[in-house]
Amino acid sequence: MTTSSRDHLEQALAKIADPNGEGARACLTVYADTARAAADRSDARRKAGTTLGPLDGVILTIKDLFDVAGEVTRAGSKVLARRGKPATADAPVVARLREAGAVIIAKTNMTEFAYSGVGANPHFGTPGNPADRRRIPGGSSSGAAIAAADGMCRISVGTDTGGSTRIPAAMCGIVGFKPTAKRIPTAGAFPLSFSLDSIGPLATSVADCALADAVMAGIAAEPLAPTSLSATRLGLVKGLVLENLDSTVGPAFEKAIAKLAAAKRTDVTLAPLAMLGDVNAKGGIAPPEAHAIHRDLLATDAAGLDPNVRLRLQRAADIKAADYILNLRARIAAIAAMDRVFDEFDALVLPTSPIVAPTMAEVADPDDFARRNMLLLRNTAIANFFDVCAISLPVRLGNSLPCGLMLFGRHGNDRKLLQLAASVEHAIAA
Amino acid sequence: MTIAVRLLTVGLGLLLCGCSITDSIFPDPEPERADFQDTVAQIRNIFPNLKLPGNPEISDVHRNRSASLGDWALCLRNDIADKRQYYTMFFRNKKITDYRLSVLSDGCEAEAFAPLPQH
Repeated sequence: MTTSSRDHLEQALAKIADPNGEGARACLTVYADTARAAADRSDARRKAGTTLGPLDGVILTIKDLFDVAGEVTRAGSKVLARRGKPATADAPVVARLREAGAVIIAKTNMTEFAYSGVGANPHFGTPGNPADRRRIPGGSSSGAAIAAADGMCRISVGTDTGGSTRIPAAMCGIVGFKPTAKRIPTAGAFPLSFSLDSIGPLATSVADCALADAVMAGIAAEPLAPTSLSATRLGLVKGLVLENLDSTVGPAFEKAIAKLAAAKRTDVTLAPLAMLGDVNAKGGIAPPEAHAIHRDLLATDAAGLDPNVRLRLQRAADIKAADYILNLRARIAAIAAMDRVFDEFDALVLPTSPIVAPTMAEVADPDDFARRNMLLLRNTAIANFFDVCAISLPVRLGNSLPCGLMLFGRHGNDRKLLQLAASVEHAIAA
Repeated sequence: MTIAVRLLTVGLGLLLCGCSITDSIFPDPEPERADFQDTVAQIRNIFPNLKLPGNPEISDVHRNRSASLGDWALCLRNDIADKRQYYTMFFRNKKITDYRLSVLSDGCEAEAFAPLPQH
């Protein structure tokens, strides 16, 4: 007998309410009543022999930055919670999920304004990593990763501007997907960077990520067709992305790569990465955009912000408009250059992050926080800048801490990347 | 190595990789006005598969701004503003041979659109 949506929901609610668990820090708003009603409607449809599709009745969380009609959108911030006005409508992506029958159980914790890869939040508490509760969850979609990893939902919906679905997925041992930016409408999602923001799922399998992605992208949610690894050309990225791998990530990544021997594997050095370096030297793209979004708030409510977030926002104040404009133009050329790389490869392979999740004590000092945050974001942010699609798959060496193997696919080839990722997921789990 | 042997080697190389060489030497032809009805018919077949609400609107055919999938492209969207999605259609030999949800470098949001012509 198949378990009902209501049964799954009650199990998830019990996980969230468990005083020994991370529910209180992972889930900032719990929609117990509306979720029960949605689950019951889904079960009634199933009994009647109808369904809204494969997401019908699936328990799902959304990140704290998505608009829900009638609620103030906090984006992990107490200042926004106080200053904001209730949203007049659900974000389009939330509406699409509801229309597909998804049961939204909670809004999940996040780095304030989604502006770090660490996942710490001094306002609402930092949820502990499932592998070691003294360690950070990764971010910015911190609560999303914890909720999916700890069974508070089946799928979490996060956002990714520099790695915010993939970093917490890697830290917590689950799958995180970042689509091509324009694949899913970002309206109704509190912005960090107008140019780089994207919306993506986190779950314990590629198949579940693909399911949520299809619904959010407004395309048919069909099962993934298997891809043969032997017919796949993988580019093993060398150079900067392999620097400073810690003593867990290095061996775990090597072992995972060895399991992909069936594919045609070729070492590749990404020449277009120099273009990203040039843009970052002139202030980048996300920092000036984030500063523009929060400039008024910084003038009046800076004291109420997470100090690590405030520092990053303030640091961008002196970036010149001319440099920002040049950076945007350089990005267009960089995207075209990276697109040509995919004439040779079906996917690029690299570690999601060079380090495993640091302990919370290791990021307590602002300088340590900044250094580790940069390391966490280093590889993932490449995908956002070049507008490729990317996915992090969990890799674990014995009992060591989890880390991630990341695949990049050509922009617009999201579905093909997900199909390939399902094959890679199977191979590296063997 | 003599010049004759070198030329023979180059010639053999060109012969063996003939397809890609041919593709790069002869650019894909631009779809013309005379091909428009065929293009419209193809879009009428494709649009229902996209399961978009509303009716299709298309841009003019233009040179593909991305590096992949063809030399010529056209943007397609549905006409319901709050449920709008953009797709890029790619041509090979004047036929639509591939399409995808538009990406940034396709530039579809900056295109001018018109309703798909009636039969």
